[in-house]
Amino acid sequence: MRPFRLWLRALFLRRRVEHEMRREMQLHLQLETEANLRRGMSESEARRAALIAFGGIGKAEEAVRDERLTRTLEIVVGDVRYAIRGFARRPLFASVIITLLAVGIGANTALFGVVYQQLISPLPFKDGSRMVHLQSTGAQGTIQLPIAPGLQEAWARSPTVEQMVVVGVGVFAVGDTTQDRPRQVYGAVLPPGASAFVGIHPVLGRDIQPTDTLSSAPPVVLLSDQIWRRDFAADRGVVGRSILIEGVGHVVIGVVPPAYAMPFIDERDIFLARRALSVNATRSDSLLNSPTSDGIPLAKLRPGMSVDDANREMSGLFERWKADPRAAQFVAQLGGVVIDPPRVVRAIDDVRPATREAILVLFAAVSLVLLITCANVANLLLVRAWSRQREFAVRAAIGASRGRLMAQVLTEGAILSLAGAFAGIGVATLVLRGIQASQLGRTIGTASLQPSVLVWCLALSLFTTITFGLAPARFAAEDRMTDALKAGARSQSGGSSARRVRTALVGLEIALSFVLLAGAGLLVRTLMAMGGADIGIDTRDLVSVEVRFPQKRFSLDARRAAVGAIRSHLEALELRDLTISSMTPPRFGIGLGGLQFENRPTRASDSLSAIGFNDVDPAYFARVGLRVTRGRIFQADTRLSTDKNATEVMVNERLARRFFPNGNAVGQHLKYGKLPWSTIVGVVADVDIPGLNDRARSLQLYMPISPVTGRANFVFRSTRPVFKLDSLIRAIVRDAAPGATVGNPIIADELLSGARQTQHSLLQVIGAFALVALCLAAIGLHAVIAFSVGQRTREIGMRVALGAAQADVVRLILRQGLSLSLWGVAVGGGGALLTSRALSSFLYGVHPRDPVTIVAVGALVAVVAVVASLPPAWRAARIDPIEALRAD
Amino acid sequence: MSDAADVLQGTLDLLVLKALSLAALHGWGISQRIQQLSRDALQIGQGSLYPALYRLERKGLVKGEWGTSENNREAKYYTLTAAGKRALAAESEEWRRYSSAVDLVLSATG
Repeated sequence: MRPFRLWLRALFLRRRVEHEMRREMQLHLQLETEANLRRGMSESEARRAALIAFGGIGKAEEAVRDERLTRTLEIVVGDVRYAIRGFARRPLFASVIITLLAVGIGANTALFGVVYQQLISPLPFKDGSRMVHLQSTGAQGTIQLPIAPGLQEAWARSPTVEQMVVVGVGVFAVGDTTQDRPRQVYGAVLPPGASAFVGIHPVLGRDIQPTDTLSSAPPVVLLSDQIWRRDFAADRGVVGRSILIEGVGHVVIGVVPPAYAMPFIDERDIFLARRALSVNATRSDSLLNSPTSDGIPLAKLRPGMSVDDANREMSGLFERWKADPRAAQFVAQLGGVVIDPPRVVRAIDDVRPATREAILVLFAAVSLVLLITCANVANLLLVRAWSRQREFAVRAAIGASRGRLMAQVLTEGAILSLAGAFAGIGVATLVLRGIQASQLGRTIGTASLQPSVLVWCLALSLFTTITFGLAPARFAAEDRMTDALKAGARSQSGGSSARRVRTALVGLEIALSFVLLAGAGLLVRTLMAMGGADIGIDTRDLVSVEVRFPQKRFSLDARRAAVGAIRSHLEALELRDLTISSMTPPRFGIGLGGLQFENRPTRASDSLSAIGFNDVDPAYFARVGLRVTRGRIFQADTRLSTDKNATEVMVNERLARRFFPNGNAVGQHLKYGKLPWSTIVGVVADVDIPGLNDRARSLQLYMPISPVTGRANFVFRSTRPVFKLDSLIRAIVRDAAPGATVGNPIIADELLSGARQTQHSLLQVIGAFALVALCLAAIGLHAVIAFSVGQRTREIGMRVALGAAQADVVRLILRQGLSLSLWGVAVGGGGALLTSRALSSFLYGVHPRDPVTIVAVGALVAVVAVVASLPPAWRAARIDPIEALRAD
Repeated sequence: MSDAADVLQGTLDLLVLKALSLAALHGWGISQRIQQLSRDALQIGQGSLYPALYRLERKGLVKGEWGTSENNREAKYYTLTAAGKRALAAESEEWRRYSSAVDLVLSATG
């Protein structure tokens, strides 16, 4: 303890310690002098003798200081001062490096922030890490299974679960349907206590109370912050007012804050109270999921319970549940499916795979950019170190060890890195703001700069110091003291090892740029393929408008009449290819249930199939250009017939091939979920949205549209502006079917480009990175070639003197640039082949190892290498042999 | 050269410890005491005395404290710590064995 205290004292009370040391030695001299006087010496003689006996005060002081062991720190402080003085003398050099580092570190920090917030950090909810939901995975992908009656409640009461709430989600029409334009908004149906469950409470008004759920209570609604600002001008007096939802008056009881989101549930505009319903009552009549009847069970595990515990519990309960009579009934309702126990999934693991991959791909890309930045900075520092050879040599000559010289250069690197990191925090803030404002934010979400992200930023600066600082540090420590002092800088070798390092660094930059360029190239090819893809229907000018007929106002017959009336009005507008479907083309609804075939035993693998469905007018196929490949088009609505197999349906090629590989699908009978037995009368082409890779809707089933559906999409082709169509159609619906709600016109091509959004965003970012990287690599290559031309002046002069033509000299230098870039291309090409698979889930119509992309990128890099070597080659060609040979 | 210096340095530390084992002394006093005890045979290179004192202090073998000398002057007095006493005993023993071994070698005849 005591030695440490002395050390601290020496470090922080340096002046006092020094003063004491000097006083002690002065006293010594004084006492010695006095003793000498007593021995009879004269005063001056006595002092001289004392000094001689002491033997050099300066040296003794230095020796004492060495004993204090604070030297290392003092050296660091000295190095830092020296470095800062050096940078102050070359502000441009320092600011270029700091800018490079700030961009590299800042972009990386921003993306790390996204990785941290979206993939690592706990959810923003209270006890977010304990939040789970129940999920069923069907044969075709992840879909939400109707929760089996009795099972969910048993699990909610089990010792693994602390609390469970079931949140309903759906689309609701808000506003007076007869007066103004009702709006379709996303809503959630909450049980009491849901706000406490997520730990977020209304900022205005009150929360949903248990009494609100009584069937006698007046209906109530909570508004989202967004809809409150947009539609109610942030009026605090909105609480207590009544608004129409699905034609029923609801009292606004409060407004929830912007962050009011539930795990697993997308953003919502309104929140209704779940009224007088038991947990599973809403499920009973909705086996084909209509959008308003989804219930999502959210639960919070008890502290200390893991997801594995919860899953074990669920499996046990599931086995017992299968003996319950309700289980058999449930299975029968679903059409005899084989049911697996629902899986318990942590909210934090529920990030969409596409989002996760997009984030990781971008993070990898910015990491490559950071590496390129480091290589560039290392290159600049090496050049600087080369020009400082004399300084190093002089320092070495007056006694600085190699370690000291290396430490000096590394300290300079660390200072640059720290400055870069601090500036990088600013860059990261800008990048995150940019992400939030752009389309990219929708794909990958955004982040804030939390402490852990800042720690990452500092760690990066340490990493960069080491990666770019080591080569110049080693160069500084090389023993070439005599060389440097002996002669002019021009005539010496300049450290062949430094040149090798610089060449390697430039090669590395080219290789890394190659990888980024290849990624961008693959995305370009993907977007081209997506744009030109045959999606099964002709989407040119295709528009659809959804009209919904609330059951309360429209009987079955009224609906039929309303659809007809609207249709005849629209026909008067002379819209091309007018037809009707239940879903907006090229989308499909999703259905869930057992798929059974009369002449084919049900296998476990087909048991729980998700199916994309669309109820359409018989004319639909011809109007949207959907090809019938076998059989015929069905007759108009036959669904209300009670005869077995009277309903005619059509399926897509994929479904037909999967269940009837012999091509005899037409004429087969199928039953899906609780729908009646139907006959397949025709097979049509597959309709796939490129890039969506929607396995849940890859098997497609078409049924004749019927008023049972309760809504209709009017589909047509028009080049009129959307807002004009919108007002025209709203006017028509108001006249022809008062009380129906109208959605916004949706342009099919916009849906398709929406599906390409992820690739677009990725291409923008990776493409920009790739261009920056290529520029940095070109600058690096140019610098290396220019430097080497400078060094080879004499040699080139000799060549010219011996008869080389200018073209020969140019060719010589260009060949040097090209051969340097070629091994960068070779390494980069290999790297691209190895890493491009990371992009594969975003690619469409192009193989990750697409040779066209690789060759094109290679050619581009070679051209850039030649262009970057041209200026120095030109300079070399104009070297005057007489000047060059006389120079030394 | 470095070997000889190590031996000397070790010896100096030992002499300082010994000088301090008899009484608390300041720097000059230590050099005087060693000179006196060795009957002027050993002159301490005073430039190396202070580094030795700081080293011993850092190792916790001696403790330095400012006090007043007999003729009323501020001086830093060094005393032996408990660890210092133990080190003195151990190193004295070590030194005796070493010097008698060297004696044996030097006094060998033939």
